[in-house]
Amino acid sequence: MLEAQGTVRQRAEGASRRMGAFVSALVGFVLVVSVVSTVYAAKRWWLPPLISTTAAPIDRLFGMQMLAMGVVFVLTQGLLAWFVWRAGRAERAMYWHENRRLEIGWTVATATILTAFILTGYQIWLALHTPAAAEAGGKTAVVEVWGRQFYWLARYPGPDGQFGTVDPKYEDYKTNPLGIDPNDPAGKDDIVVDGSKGEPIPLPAGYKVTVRLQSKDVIHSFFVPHLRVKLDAVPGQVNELYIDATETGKYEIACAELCGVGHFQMRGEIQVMDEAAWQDWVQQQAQQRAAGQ
Amino acid sequence: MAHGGAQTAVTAAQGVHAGHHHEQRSFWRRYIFSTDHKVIGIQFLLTSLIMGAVGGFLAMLMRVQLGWPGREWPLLEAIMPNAFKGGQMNPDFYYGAVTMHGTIMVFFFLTTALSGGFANYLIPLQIGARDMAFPVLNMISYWLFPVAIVFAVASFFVDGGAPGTGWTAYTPLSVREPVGQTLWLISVFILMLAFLAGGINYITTVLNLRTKGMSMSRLPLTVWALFLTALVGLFAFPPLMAAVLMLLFDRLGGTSFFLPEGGGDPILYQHLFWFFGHPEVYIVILPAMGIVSEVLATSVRKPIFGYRYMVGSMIAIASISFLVWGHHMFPSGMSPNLGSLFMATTLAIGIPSAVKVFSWLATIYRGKMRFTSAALFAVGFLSLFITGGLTGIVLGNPSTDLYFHDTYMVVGHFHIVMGAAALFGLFAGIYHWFPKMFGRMMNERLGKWHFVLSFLGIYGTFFPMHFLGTAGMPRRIYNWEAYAFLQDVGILNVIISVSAFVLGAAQLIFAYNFFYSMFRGPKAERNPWQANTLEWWAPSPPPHGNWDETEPVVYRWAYEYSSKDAPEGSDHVPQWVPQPAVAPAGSGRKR
Repeated sequence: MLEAQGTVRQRAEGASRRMGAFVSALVGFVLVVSVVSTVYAAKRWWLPPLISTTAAPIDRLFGMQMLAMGVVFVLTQGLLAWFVWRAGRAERAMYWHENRRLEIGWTVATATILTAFILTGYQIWLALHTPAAAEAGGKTAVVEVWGRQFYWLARYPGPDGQFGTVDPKYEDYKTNPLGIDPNDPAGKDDIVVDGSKGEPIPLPAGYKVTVRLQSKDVIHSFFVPHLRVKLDAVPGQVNELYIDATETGKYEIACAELCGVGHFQMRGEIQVMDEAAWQDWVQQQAQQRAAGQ
Repeated sequence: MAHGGAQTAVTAAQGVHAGHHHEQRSFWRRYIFSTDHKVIGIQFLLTSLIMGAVGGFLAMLMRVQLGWPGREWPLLEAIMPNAFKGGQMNPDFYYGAVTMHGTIMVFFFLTTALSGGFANYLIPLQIGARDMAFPVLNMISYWLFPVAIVFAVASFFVDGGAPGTGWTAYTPLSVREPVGQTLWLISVFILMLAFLAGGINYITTVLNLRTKGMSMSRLPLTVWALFLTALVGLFAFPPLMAAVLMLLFDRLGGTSFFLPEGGGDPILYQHLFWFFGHPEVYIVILPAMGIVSEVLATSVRKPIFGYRYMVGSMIAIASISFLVWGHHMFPSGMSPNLGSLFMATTLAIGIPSAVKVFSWLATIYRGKMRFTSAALFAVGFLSLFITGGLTGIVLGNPSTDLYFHDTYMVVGHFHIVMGAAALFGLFAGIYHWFPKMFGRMMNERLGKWHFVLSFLGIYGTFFPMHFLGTAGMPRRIYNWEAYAFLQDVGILNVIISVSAFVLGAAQLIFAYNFFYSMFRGPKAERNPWQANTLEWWAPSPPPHGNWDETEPVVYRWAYEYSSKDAPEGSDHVPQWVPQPAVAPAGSGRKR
């Protein structure tokens, strides 16, 4: 009778050990696959090549975050797997539920790490919002970007450096998509780029470009992955964004705010040009305007 | 067993006690329009599970599209000719599915199952009350829920279909949507009324109906969690109701609260929505945290580690949750100073969350685990909560959020930390309390299969989404093939879709186990898990009114496991067992 009870208990202990080992292995498996797949992904699906100097701290911050997350992830999931494994083998549980030093220790440790991230993040965040004009001597440009279901429009002030007033009553999809007031002299030389015709938005490399984001209808979000920028285009308000592209070439704009059934098609492009090409383009556009008047 | 023999078996039909004579209740009064908190809890739970299946099915359809965009599915066209016109899913339907998947999973599944189901079922039982403070209000709270469902589901069948604005329904897009949006708004408003009625009930019940000896410092963590959840809801739901009403006025009444052309502000809607929306994620996760604390302690036969810190961190989470909403709006053009502030509060909420994680780990440390299905899901919850919580460091920081906002990094993050983790908490709770609810045991072998497939399926579905995020794939994209920078994400999307199907299929095992065990499972004892909380003192299932002639009296906290005070042949001292007249020498700390 006692013997039989002993075997039953042994069998139960064996089952408990096996389950402990199994669940622990399952957590361990997820841990290993997560780490390995992330290392692989870092080569294949990582942030696209960066084409801006101001955004470089963002990539560095992300690297630091990845490191911190990786260490904490491995540590905590590892502890979980280990504790579960032990809890499957233990003969009895320990009556233990309070340890001041531990509680204070991990609270302070977490708070320290997070405070470090708050402080670094704060500095970078402020730097990203320093307007281009604040830096003396740099070359600057201003462009208006408008979101509309489901494409992007851009406007440059032209040689006079002034944007003409815009009024929806002058809007015409073919000839005047933004509705620039024809009676406003400041608007006469404005250059308009129409994304619905597949035209990319030209941007000069090496310039501090202020992008003034607006929307014609609903909220869109101007996302250029290579520049690490994203800002909403909100109807009725102007949001400013600062860009300093360094590498010439064409880069995609994705709309990152659900803006209707065509949201997924709201793809645009920027064309980063070197200074000479940019000057040529502005000149050429100005001449076309003059010829058209 | 400590309580053995002290009570006579009382079946549900014999639930007679002072002041209650309900033997003659008809089927309708007993099971349909019942004021019994247990019946209402189970009604909430069952309805939510059905809605969870609907929401999950919509997710499967979305994964069909995202895994193989542009592919034609003649079989699906045969089943859903409108959604798959010409064989391909049409984008209108896709965006309707996006909206309804989110709405159903957040509102009609996780919130209702946890705050409707478990709060109703557990609060009176665990505090030793006979029912809720306001049983009729409680019944009304449940019956508003199906009404809300009717409005939400009806939107699929009206002109223009379900709204394609996402569960967030940002203005001004949601002002311009077809009529489906109106139905959606009415549905959400009705559901909020249900939540408020429920929440007032839970708060009053916890504050006023605790049995003798059940001080606040002896409350089980489930009750603490559900109580704090109700408080959060009480402050979070009204702003959403205001936003919903204003949006309805904009749509139907010609007002311009959110329309700039009439002097309104579309961003105002986002503030109102997220002032509700961020606390809402804690409304979903706090009950899961409570359930997991309960299940873990019972399973490892150890007191929960740091009870006071656990309660304190939940209070901290509940409070700070109202100060972080702006991180959902980092790219909306808010002042950078405001962004800094929201970064600080957002990262600060990581501190109480980390305290909870470490305390759960310390609870498992040197425990003796019983590997029940409930225990496995609790372990799974912990793993998922860690994984999902960590990426909050990236998204809470506005500088890095500029890149990751509204990409799949966000989708992966919140699906793991509040979707999957809450789901696992919910499953842990169902496996744990099923014997009490239905008087029968669930099949443990099927439960383990369900766990293993769900655990692997959920990681396979949501972990690779982080890589889609680093690659820059925006969320709510019907077809990602349009973008050159996303040309290489095809294989990731296939892996995600296949994992999602495994995850979905695993839930069929659960459904079978749940409904089969409800009628055919082996009969459950009063206290099959040798747990300490009061509901295990009642018969399984407890009769109407919960207790026999006398209500239970509480003598200690709920976590006296592996205690030296435990009687011979047992390793725990339930809350209802009187203190021994003379405490044995060297006994553990008392509460």
